Order: sequence, then C-alpha cells, then structure tokens
Amino acid sequence: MIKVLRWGLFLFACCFSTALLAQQNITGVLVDENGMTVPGASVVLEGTTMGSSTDLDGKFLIENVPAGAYNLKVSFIGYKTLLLPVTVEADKAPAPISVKLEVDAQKLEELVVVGYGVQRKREVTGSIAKVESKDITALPVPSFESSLQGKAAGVQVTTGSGLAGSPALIRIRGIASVSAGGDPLYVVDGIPITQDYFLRGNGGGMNTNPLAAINPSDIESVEILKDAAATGIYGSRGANGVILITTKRGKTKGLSVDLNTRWGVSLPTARPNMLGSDDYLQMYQEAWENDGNTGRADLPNNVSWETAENTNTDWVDETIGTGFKQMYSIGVNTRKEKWGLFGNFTYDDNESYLKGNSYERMSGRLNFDYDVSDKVKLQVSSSLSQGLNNRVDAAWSGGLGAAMSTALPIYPIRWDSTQLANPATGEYEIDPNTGDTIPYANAGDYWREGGAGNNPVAMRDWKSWRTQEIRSINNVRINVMPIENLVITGTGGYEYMRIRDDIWESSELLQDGSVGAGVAKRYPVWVNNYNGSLFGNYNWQPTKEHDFKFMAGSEFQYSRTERKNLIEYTHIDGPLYDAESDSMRADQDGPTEQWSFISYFGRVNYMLKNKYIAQLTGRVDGSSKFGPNNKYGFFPSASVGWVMSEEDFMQSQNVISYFKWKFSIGRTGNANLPVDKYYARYSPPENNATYNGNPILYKIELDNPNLQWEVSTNWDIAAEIGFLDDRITMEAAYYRKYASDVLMRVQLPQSLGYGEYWDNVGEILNRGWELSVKSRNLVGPLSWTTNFNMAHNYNEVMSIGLYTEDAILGGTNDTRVVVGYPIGTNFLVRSAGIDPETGKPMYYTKDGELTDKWNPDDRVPVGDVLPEVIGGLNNTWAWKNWDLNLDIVYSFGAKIYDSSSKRQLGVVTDWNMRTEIFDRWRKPGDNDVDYARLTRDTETYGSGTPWINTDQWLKDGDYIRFRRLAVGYNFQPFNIKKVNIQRLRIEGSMTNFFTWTNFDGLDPEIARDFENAADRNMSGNVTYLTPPQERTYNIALSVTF
Amino acid sequence: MKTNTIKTLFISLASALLFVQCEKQLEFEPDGVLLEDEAIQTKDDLQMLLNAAYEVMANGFNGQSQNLHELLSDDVAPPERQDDYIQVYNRRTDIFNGTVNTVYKEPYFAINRANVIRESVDLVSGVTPSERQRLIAEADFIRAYCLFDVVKLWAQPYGYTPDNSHPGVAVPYEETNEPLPRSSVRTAYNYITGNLRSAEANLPDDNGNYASKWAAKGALAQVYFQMGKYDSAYFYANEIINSGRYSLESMSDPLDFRFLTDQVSTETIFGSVSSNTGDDNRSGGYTGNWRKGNQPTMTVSKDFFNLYFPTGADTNTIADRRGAWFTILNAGEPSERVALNKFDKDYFNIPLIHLTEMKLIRAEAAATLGIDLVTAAQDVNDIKVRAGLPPTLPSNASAADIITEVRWERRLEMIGEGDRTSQIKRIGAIEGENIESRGAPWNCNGMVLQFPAVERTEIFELNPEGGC
Repeated sequence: MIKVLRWGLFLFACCFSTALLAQQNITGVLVDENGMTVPGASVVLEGTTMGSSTDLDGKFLIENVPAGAYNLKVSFIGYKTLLLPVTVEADKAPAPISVKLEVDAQKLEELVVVGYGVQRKREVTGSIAKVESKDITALPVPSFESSLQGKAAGVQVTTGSGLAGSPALIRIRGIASVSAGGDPLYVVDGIPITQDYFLRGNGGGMNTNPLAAINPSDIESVEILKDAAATGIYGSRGANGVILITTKRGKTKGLSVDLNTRWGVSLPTARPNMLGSDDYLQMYQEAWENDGNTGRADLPNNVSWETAENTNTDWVDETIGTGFKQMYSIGVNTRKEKWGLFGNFTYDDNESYLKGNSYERMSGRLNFDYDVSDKVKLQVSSSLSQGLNNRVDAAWSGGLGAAMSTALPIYPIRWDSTQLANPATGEYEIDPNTGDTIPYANAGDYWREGGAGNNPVAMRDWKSWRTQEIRSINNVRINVMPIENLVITGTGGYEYMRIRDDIWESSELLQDGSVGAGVAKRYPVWVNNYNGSLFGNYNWQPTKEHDFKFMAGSEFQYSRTERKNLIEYTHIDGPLYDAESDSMRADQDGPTEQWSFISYFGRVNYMLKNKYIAQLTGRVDGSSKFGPNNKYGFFPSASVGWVMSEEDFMQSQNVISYFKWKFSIGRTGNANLPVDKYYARYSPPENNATYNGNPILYKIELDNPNLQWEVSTNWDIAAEIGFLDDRITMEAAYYRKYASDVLMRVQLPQSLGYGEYWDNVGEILNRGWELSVKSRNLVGPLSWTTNFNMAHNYNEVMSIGLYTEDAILGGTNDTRVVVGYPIGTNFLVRSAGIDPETGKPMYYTKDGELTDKWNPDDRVPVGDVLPEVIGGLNNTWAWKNWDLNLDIVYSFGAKIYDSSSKRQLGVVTDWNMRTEIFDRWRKPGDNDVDYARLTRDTETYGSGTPWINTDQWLKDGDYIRFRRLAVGYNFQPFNIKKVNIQRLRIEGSMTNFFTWTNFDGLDPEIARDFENAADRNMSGNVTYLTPPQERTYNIALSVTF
Repeated sequence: MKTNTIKTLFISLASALLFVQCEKQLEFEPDGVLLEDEAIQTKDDLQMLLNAAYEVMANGFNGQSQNLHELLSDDVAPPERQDDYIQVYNRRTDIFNGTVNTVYKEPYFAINRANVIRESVDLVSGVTPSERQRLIAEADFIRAYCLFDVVKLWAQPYGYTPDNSHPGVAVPYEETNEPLPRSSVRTAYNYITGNLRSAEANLPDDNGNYASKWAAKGALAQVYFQMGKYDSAYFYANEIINSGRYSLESMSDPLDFRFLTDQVSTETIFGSVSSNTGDDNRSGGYTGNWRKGNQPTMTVSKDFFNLYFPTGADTNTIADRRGAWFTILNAGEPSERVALNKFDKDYFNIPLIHLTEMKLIRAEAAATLGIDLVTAAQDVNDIKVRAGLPPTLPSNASAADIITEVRWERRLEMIGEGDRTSQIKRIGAIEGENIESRGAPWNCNGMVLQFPAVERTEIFELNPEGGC
C-alpha cells in the first residue's frame, strides 16, 4: 500500500509541480462564530484566478502568489462574504491568516437541488432529505443506494443479500403500489434513468441491480424528495418519491487530484447451522421408525448407509469463504475562469463471502463545464461503466442455498474409489468393443447422485456464469441567459445499457456427449433511453419584499429495450466471452419494448418579506403506457411555508434560533407499470392447437383502454426548528398519502374467460411521522455530532375493488393484499402447537377451532412484513486529527417470514435440517417442545404437501444493527517534493459488526430475490435460503493534492 | 455565438417540442403479439374464433367434466391417487381444487370466446347475412351448452327452490372486465333456454361436426328434461327421433360403441371430435383416468356393478351385452376394483347429445306426463333389445313401470357419461323424491362443487362447504 502511494505521489509530483521564484504561499484557517472550522469555503484573491477552498479542517492554501497587495475574498453559503487585505512580500512568506465568518441571515443555508432547478433551503416548502457525498462513499458497497440507509427519515433501505451486486430495497414513506413498481424514481443529473430490476428476472436467486453501475465516487449529493410539494414536478412518476443524484463538477480553483483506495474482507453476518451426517441420519431414522417402519431407513437418492456414515460434508463450508475487496479511484477537479472539469476513474472489485462470487466495476466519468459567454453556459456530463458480476447460484437456485437445503451432509463431494456399477440400478456398462466394464465413476470424480445442483463444489467447476453490464449515462445541458434573471435550459440525455448474461455449462454437467465440451448461452438485453427537456427559470423581484420565481418547461423521454431470448452454442469449452464455436444451436429474438413520456410542467414560487413562502407546481404527463382513454394526466401541488422565527414575537427569546412551518398538498402518480398492458391480445393460429382439423384463433388478454397511472393524494405538515444558534436542528413532519387507482395485476374470475389483467382497482393509505435531529453536542477541540432520525409509517389496504386476496397475483410465500391490513400481510394458517400425545402439529381453522388438518382455506391475516418504526443514529467524534464515526440503523415492528424453515424444520425429506430440530417431540407427554414428531409422511402433519406454510415460521423481525464503525486519522497538509498534500486520510472501518435481534434465522435485514414488482412490494422480509448480508473489515487511504 | 441566434434556436426547439405530433409518440405497437385489428380481418378469422370456442368446449367435455359429475354420483368407487378427485368424491371440495378449477374454467372460456365472436362479427366485411346468422347461432349454442354444465355442477338444481331464486352461477351475456355477480338459477336457465331457442331458429340443418339446428333441439330436450318441463322435453326428443336423421347404433361390439375412434356415431346429434394429430385429442379426461391398463383413477363402484350384474359380467353367461363394459381387476384381493371399458382406447369422439338419450328422455317425459305410453314403452324396449335383453315392457305398461324401467336402463346405458348425478338431482328437486347419493341427500352442500378461489368477489358468494 505504501508503495502504491509513493509511486502515485511521485508521478503526480513530476507532472504538476512547478516552482517559481519570488512567489509565496498564503495559508490560513477559517472558523465560524463558534470557533468551528469551516471546510469547503471559497478563498480567492479578488481580481485574479488564484484561490482555493478550505479543507476538512478549515485550512486553505493559495500557492505561488506573486508579490503584491491583494484582497482576499472569503465566501461560504450562509455566511457573509468577507474581503481582507493581504500583502505578499517577495522575500517573506505571509503569516497564516485566521478568518472568522459571520452568519448571514439573508442567505441562510445550503442550496437544495429540486427538479429542474435549485432552491435555497429557506425557500423550500417540500420535504427533501439531502445526503452528502461523504456519506455515500463511506460504505464499502458496490451500489450507492445501500449507503442511504439510516441517513434520511422515512427512507427505508434494506440492503440486498450477501450476493455481490444484489440490489437493495428502497421505500419512501411506506408502500403504495402492489403490482406496479413501488421504487422511487431515480434521476441522474436530470435524466430519469433505467431502473428495471427484472431485466433478467431472478435467475440464480438474484435480481438485476440497475443502480450498481453508478459509481458512488461520482456523486456530489443525493436529494430524496418525499412529499407532493417536492415530487409534484415529476407528476405521474413522483408518487413513490424521487431520488435526485447530482454528480460532481469542477469547482476547485487550481487543480486538485483525489486518490482513494480501500481494501477489505467480506464475511457473512451469520452462518447456517445445518446438521452434520450423524445428526441427519438420526433424524431420518427416527422419522422412519415414527412412521411405523422397521429396519434402516431408505436414504434419499439411494445413498447407502455405509457411504452416509462415512461421509460428513459441510456444504456451508464448501460454499462460504472470505471475500477480498479492493477499490482504487483517481479524481481530478478544476475550475478555471471559462471552464471546469471533473474526472474520475474507479476500479472496484467486491468479492462476496460466497466462493466464486464478485462484482467488479470499472467506471469513468468526465463532467465538463464551459462558459461560452457570460450568457451561455454549457455542461457536458458523461459516464461509462462496466460491471462484471461473477455469478454463483444462490438461494433457491443452488450454491449456499443448496447447502442450506438439498445438499445433504451424507453426500460426498467426490467418489473416493472407482465405482463400477450404477448405484441406482446396480447395472454395469460394458464396452461393446473390448468387453470391459466402463466404470460408472472413477475415484476423484465429482459425486452427483443427489443431482448436480446438490454438489455446489462440482457446480463451480462445471458452470461459469458472468453478467456483464455496460452502461453509459450522458447529458448535455445548455443554460442561456438572454435577459437578466431569465435562464433557459435545454438538456439532452442519452443512456445506454447492455446486459449480457453468459452461462457456460460443461458436458459433464449436462451429461450430454453430443454437445462437445459444453454449451454456452448468452442472454443479452439492450436499453436505449433518450431524454430531452427545455425549460426556463425566471426570477422577478418587483420590490425588495416580493420575490417571485417562475419555471416552465417540457420534456420528452423515450426508452427502448431489445433482447434476445437466447443465443446458444455447443462444442465450446467456455463462456462466449472467452471461447469460440461454430455450432450455433439457437438464436432467438425477444420482444422489443418501448415506452415514452411527453410532459409539460411549471412551478411558481413566491416569497414575501423573506418569511412567507408559497409554491405551486403542475405537470401534465402523457405516456405510451397509459390506455387511450387516459393518455394524459394532470398532477398539481400547492405548498406554503412560514419562517416564524423571523416574526417580531420570536425575537425576544434566544432559545429558538430558527423556526419554519411547511404545509403541502398535492397529487402525484406512479407510472411504473409494464409496457403495452392496455392492448387486447390474440393468440396467433400458428401457435395454437387445431380442432376438428381446423385452425383456431382466440383472444388471450382483454384490453383495458382506461389503464392509467396510480394516483397519490398527499398532504404533509412539517416544522424545521433550530435551537441555540442552530447547535441543535430538527425537522419533524406528519404526512398522509392516499393512493387510489392502484394498479393490480389480477387473476380475473374464470367466469370472465380470461387470465391476468392489469387494472386500476386498489386504494392504499400510508400515513406517518418523521423526525430528524442534528445536534452538535460538543464543539471545540473535541467535537461530537449526533444525527438521529426516526420514522413511523402506518399502511393499510383500503380497497382492492371487487376482488379478493387470492385474485391479486404476485405475492409469494403467502403474503397477500388484504383489505384492512397492510400490504404484504402474512396470510397463513395458524399453528396451534403440538399435540403432546401424538406429537402431531395442530392448526386452527379460520373460525378458531382446533384441527389436525392443514387446509389453505384456513389462512387468516397473522402479521405483516412492513416495519412500524425505522431510523438511524449516527455519531461522529473528532479530536485533533482523529475522528470516529458510528452508524446505527434500526427497524421495529416488521415480521419476517422464514419461508425455508418449513422444509428445514418440517417433514423429514431430502432437505437437510437445522440444529433447532433437536427440540422436538419424541414420546407421548412431550409438551414443551418446539417441533412436531419427525415423519416422512406429510399426512402426519395433516397435509398433502411438505410446503406447509403456517405462522410457526413467522418471526419477530426487530433489529438494531451497528452498520459501520470507522476510525480515521487526517494528516496535516504537507509537502512532498513540492507537491502540496492538502489531505491525507487513513481510515479503518468495519460494517455490520454487531446486530441485536430476536430473529433466530440468519440475518434480520432481508431483501430476497424477487419474482416481479408485486413480489418486491409484498414480500420484502420473506427469506428463502437467502444468503445473509456481509460483514466487512476495511482499511482506506485517501489523498488530495 | 450570438444571443439572437441562440434565442431563435431555442424558440424553434421549444415549438418543435410543444407541437410535435404527440399521439404518435405515445403509441408503440407491441412486439411479438397479435392485436385485434390484425387478428380479425376476414370471415375466415371469425370461423377460427368460432373453432376456438368449440376447441375449449371440447377440452372441458373431454371426460374432465363428466368425471366430476360421476364422482358426485353413486356409480363410482373412491378415486385413486388423485387428491382433487378424492375431494369431489368426499363431497368436500375447497377453493383450491385445481381440477375443479379447470373444469369450471373451460366452459367459461368457451362462453367468452363465443361472446367475442358475437362482438366481432360486424368488424369484418364480406360476411353474408346467412353466415352472420350462423356464426351467432353457433356462438349461442356454445354459450348455452357450456353454462348448462356449469349450473348443474356449481349450483343446487332447478327446482331446489319453488321460484329458482337460489344462487346460480355467473351469467356472461357479453365480454367484460367487470367481475360478474352470482345470478340465480332461474336467470341461468333463462339464459340457457333463450340461447338455445335462438340457436335452434338460426342454425342450419347440417353443420358437419359443429352445432346444427338438431344439436340445439337435442340440447333443449336435455335442458327442459332437467328443468322438469317434460312436455317441451318430449316435444324436442320426439322431433329428433322422428326426423330419421339419426339411428341407434347396434351393440355388435360393446367395446366399440358410441365413443368411436375416427368416426362419428350414427347416434350423435352433437359431440366433440378427436384426432391423433398434434394437440387435437379431446378425450384425455377419459383416457387418462379410466383406462384399465393405467391403474385407473376412476372405476365403478361394486354396489353399482352388483346391482346390474349380481352374477358377474361374464359375457358367456349373461345376456346383457353391456356386461362387456366391465372388467374386474385384482379379483378377490382387497384391491379389487371394477374397471369400465367404455373409454379404453387411445382417443375417440365424444357424443354429448345422442339418440339413446333422446329415447330415454322421450320415454320418461311421456310416462311422467302420462301421454303416449306405447311409444314410451317401445323406447325402453329398444334400448333393452339392443343390449341383447328381452323387451320386457308390455305395450300397455303403466307409467310407473315405464319410469322405473327407463331410469334403470338410463343409469347403466349412460354410465361414465356424467349423467347419473343430474338424474339424482332432478328426481329429488323436480319429482320430490327422497333420493340420495352414497348416503348424502341430493340437496346437501357437498353435492355442489365449490368455486375456485379467484371467483370470490364482493358480489359473488361462494357455496357453503361440508355437511354431507
């Protein structure tokens, strides 16, 4: 590491160091009125291009200043700009300058990015949470959205599973969608990006992560828009919240170069406690005897007792290892008078703890600003990234999932001796030419009698799988100021994405000699997303007291997704990306999907006397996804704000330094539904059977000309309060979101003669409160800052039209949409414990009577997977050059449905079991046991199937998780070979290192692989062989010069 | 760049954006699917739509529906290895019975396809008035015949309440996306008879393997008979028998009788057809469940068998040729079962309305009405004689004797055809007799199937479960 650093420094020293005589450096430090240092402030010598900005410690350095007299201009948002005279002498460095800034009440606060513009925080009437770049790069996760967890009130982030690159689940202020996507809209530098989690379904137990290709190091800030006043400007796409991602731009006077690197290791947060051979055999034999059999049980897949007793494979050990992570990033940032540049290149290799699994990203970004004139400014932003996801099967698809289920400890990895006869049939294969016996298997060959998927070690050899994602997001923006106070902005955006799923399976795996070395399959998807907008912002201040801002514009977006269903080659000894073959076996085109939006929007802001604020927004959205009767929707919002602390009656006290009320009301929509769902479709005769020898033609889907967006009617009341000169600031909000016309993919009653149908039928209520507090507990040499947030959301399905819960398609694992209950209600048969005499499980009928029959008709709502309270707590301590950061996140009130336990702790089958099964019924009278008598017969449990969903597997999902602890040391700025090191930081961190929970499964924070959007909305917190999250230990080094 | 130029540029850009032909930008033809305007262009397309309605109807009547009727009756033994069937046999169907769901679904899909034809017939030019009339009439026939089967299985029978206001089934008059309410049994029968009468009026006399005027008449005979409207049933059955268009099959080979492969029985007034090409086998519900080589799921009960053949069914010792329909499997063992051989072939055509049934209807209707008893007795004798039995009914037989005999013959003659349960219910509901099926009263809850889960809506109440 040191070597790399030295080399890097040397290189940059060679390139950039220039030493001129008769020049001096001006140094100094900036503090605020409390003596706290002020980082990021601009310090320039007026009338020159010389200047810099303050570092994290408030220090600044202006280099190579020729002798002379200057005015040092110090400016920072929220503070008064200062001009200080400085004289530089030729032969003597000026003494360091200490500058104290004064708060400027008129220009309070930071700027906030809103749709199609920027607002001062004071003017904002909507609910917007801002997350800064340092919080986004802090976590060693490949995808930025996980780092939003616990940072913003009311934003529920559930980090994806332990699979490298798996997507997080984000919900803003609850869930208001069922079959349509419930995720927020992601907008990168003004372009709504492609965000389809299901471009490749859930193959291998993982969804596509459309955000993984975005480099966290590129992000300047993330603004999360929550209420109608904020999201209203995004109209039909704002209802589930909007996440605005703003990338960094050149703004450093001079040139600064950032080098960042991080190394780490990945381990699982929990390990499955599966049975070893002896215990498994004991359970199996016990079940055999309980069922009235005698002698030794017939073991699964014809495994002999001899083999079974001599084998004890720990498949968990065979699939879990230690992952290594490394990240290298170089960024440059400069701002000259006419132009600015931000460039970054990052290489990030994230191995997970699963053997063979990693997500490797290379990404580059170039953001270029050019001021054509005072009135015309051009911004070009461009990024190109490649994500290489080396895949392994997981969850239901195999790998660790197999280790937790059907890969039994009695299965060996390899044959330990040559096997002549087929163990299943006892038959020998004789070579017809020589008459010799062809061995069924040789010593050392992989053992596959339990099915190839149940030998994850062999599978890693026999199957290669890589998903490559290439993505480029580009944006050109022209700002023209034809007259004073008017800015007209034109933008053009283009996003390209190509996903290639490459799978190679060897002929050993396929057991097919006709395919040569193996079969390579490729599943490519291409997305082209175009966006253009034109809008103007006009500021009008008729008098000093009145301040108007107008914005109006239009936007067009078009997206096209093309795919091949399959490209397949045989006679190939590796995946298509590194092997070749002439034997193409399949080349199947897939359907092209296209959608578009045409939008017109406007916003008016009015501020009176700098304390009364009003805002109106409106947007008209037309979309190809909507049926002909509802092509366009109108989405208005109105909001007001009152800075009460500006009033005279507040001036007599000095406890409350700032107090602002906000109220908003508005209507937004959700248009995140699949394309073309309003058309009637017919099944073409060539695809169909015949009848009476004649062709047939029939309609398979009904049209829905009224299909439209989901409507969300929202109101929000909030207060922003600052205490003790803003030492403590807080924001509290209460909101109510009522979603109507909620899109549901329903199974129509059979009597209508059709299957599924998309319809706007539901109504869903979300209401809740949010609180966030920021407190600077200690200032001075030892500083301590606390950020705390908490949110409560109440969710209730108010209506699903005429339909009933089983008609709404998509909820798996028995979560349903039940009127009067939250989305994702666990709809299960209730377990009534174990009959101490017979050891059989008992159930309740829906009327509450005891029964020993498990009947899905007895399902009732028994819980739900949505948390009641979520939030985060962040503490930062700083002392001299040291800092310590602790992030805690928590979630209370959600249930977890541990769906795989029903097989791991249920009827004894060819699934391995967990050690909890030791606490089981064994003889009449056993009444304090958790699990029923062992049996191989499902009828013993009153069922025709071992898939017995009951509330026995519904668990308390509360947790408090210590998400991250980091200790950092910041070196004082110093020079190496004339290169001025402005910042050098070393940080050690660990993530997910402690979790408090009652959940007895693996990890209480669960984002499973989902089958579709409805599953994603309804069945979060349902775990099914899901790999637990990772725990990481990292060391990071960053240098800025 | 001059500011003016830029201004102009922006104004033109803005205009372009604002006045672009928006509608076109908001509609894309879906890829890989067939849309309505492409699908329905010629009258051949309409004919294909119609054929699709027959197709799905034939799937429903490929034995699947008939089996459910049989399972509720007192003619069959407990089914083996088929949980869904066991539920039906035990009269405990629930909302998740997949087989019941399928049998419910097929007739409604057929009805919907018929509705689509009715609504599409005017979208196409070049359809002559007589073709239009025939297309609609065939659609009406399909609608009626399919709903008749649904209402028999999922609702208490006609006559269960005096005004038939008891819950019936969903009645789809037209294509819709709105869930349908549960109509009364009266409404359902009005729909069935109304559609059949209109089909009768507008169908041609001959229509190949598809529904003809005579098919509608035969269906009307069946429906009116079920409703206890014996005069109408008699009228239609009589008209068909007297038309001379259909003739009773001989029973020279009892194992190749009525359910014929690659040929249509001379008795068939309407039926489904099967071939062994492609997916065109429409007898799978029978062949998959009754063939004795496949460890049959469905067998007849020993009670039924012993009732007719107390001395066994050895064709060398008994006269009744229908004895050949039965084979004792695993004789003398606990697993002894009586297989039915009627359907023991690879594939065959299924007569749904046939002359034998018309004769049985005419006989029982006449006897019940007390009219034309001579013909009625002759009808019964015809059936007996064909089976190799003596014509035991004298020409002056009493109405009561005729009814007893015709019911006796009917039960054996139509074994496996899904008829018995309907007769039990008719006799209970219309004739007021205390009749049971395996100890369960004809009108108990379990004698009606439960609807599939997705059928339940705010306006559609399910059937009560259990109780028998």
